[in-house]
Amino acid sequence: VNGRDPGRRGNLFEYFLGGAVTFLLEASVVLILAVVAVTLSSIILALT
Amino acid sequence: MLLRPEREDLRVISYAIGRIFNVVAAASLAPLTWAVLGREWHPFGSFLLMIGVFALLGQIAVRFRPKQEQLDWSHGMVVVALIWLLVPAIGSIPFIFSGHFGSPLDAIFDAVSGLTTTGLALVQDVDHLAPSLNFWRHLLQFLGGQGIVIAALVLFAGGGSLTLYYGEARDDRILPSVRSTARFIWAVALVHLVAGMLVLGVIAHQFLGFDWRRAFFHALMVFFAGFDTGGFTPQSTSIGYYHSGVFEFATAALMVAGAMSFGLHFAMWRRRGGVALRSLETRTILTTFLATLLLTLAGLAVTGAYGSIAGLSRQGLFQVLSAHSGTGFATVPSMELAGWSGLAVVGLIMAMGLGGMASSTAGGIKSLRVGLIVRAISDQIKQLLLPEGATVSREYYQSGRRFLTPELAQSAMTTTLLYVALFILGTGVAIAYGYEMQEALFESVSAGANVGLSVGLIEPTMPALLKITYMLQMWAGRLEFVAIFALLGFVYAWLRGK
Repeated sequence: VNGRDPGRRGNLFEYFLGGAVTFLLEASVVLILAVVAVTLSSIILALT
Repeated sequence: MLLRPEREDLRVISYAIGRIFNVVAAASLAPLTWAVLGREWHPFGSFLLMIGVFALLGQIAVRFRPKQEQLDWSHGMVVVALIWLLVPAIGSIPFIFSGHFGSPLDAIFDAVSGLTTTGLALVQDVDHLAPSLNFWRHLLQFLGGQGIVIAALVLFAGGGSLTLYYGEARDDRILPSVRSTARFIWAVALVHLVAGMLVLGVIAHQFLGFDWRRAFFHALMVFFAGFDTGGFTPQSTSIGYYHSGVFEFATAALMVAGAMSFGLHFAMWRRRGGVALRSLETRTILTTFLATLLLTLAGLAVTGAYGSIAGLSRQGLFQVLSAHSGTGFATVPSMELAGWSGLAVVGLIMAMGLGGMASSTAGGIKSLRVGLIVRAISDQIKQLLLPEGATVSREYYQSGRRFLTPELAQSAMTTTLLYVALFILGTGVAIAYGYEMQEALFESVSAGANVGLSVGLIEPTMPALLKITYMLQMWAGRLEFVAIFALLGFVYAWLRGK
């Protein structure tokens, strides 16, 4: 268990830094999925 | 021969339930305070009554203090199964007196749906429900998603806490102790609460023109229901009410967060994104997500439901993400969803049934099980094709190198079969009442996988037995069967044991 362990008490800054990074990654996942959805929709609409 | 439980067993169970009731009574002070601040005196009275019932029963139960507080495996499972029945039953008191439900059964249905993070609702005229009652609906989803027993574990971690943790369908011990794992789960939620509230609140204010108070009220409600994959909203038109692509984008990020296992949150928190991407579960959920998205988009395109690329991708992506994460938010009304083509509906049903990741707030079969089953089948095929004497590596990666044992594969298959049986049960009852196969299957999978999307079958006028069936499905689906079988076994042993 190192200093970055979010289960440790009194590590407030690490909690929020870790959380903020995670939240940005989740938003990035949605962005990538949106690009995939637009690409798939374009192909499908072109084919139909 | 089954042994009849002794009085001491009942004391152990009653004591644990009493302590959890006290925690729920304390949590219920939040909507009470909301009612006071908003001068909503009618809901205030019903909240006071509910808190009184929780506190009174809690105090009575803890008076039967056992000689040893240690919970064994069966005690823990029985406690979890009972808590997930009793809390919504008592928690429905404010709904019963609100005048927004056709019957007490409807109120209990919404409380069960809330706590199990399903999101199916029988509330009438939700757009005019008192804000404190709306807050309580959404808080129930937050408590349920986080794990109501885990909430209690943060406050008291006595002997047997591990069995309570497993009873709530969590099998990922992220940190060495159950208490620190429970604390981490709450830390993730609180950090997302701050981030989610800020992002959604600012969007609602800047893009939708809400005043700050209204913006943060909606942000809080959507956060509770989004992060905990619940699906309730303070209005009948769900997320479609906001008519905002930016708001939908932020909501989608919360749904992704909710469908992620807390183990994956931990890996990302510790900047180990590469490890997360290598895991069997992450790869499985990405594959099944893309497959169901493709099916749904193709189904929508064939019928010409949405002619533009933007409309098709926006509606398709949001609904599939909502279904696969088990959230149940929608940007299209139930009636419009009911009109989607067979292929698009199949895509959504598959997404709902497969569900999110194990040890997340999502329901459904779970990606880890799907991945393990596919891997087991592929290993068997490989073994058949290889020369005699050759062995297939059974190693897979999931938070480290692991081996797919026959027991693990069997356990994944058994639980998956139980989910399929649960989906068939709800479908069968609805068909028996004369509903169409497609809508019956859709609503049944939505209830059993704790999703909350609906094509309109679930409404206050449906038969009482069907409501009870869906409630049982939500309960069994959320606890992943083990705790329920333990409760049934306990009751049987009590009645027929020696």
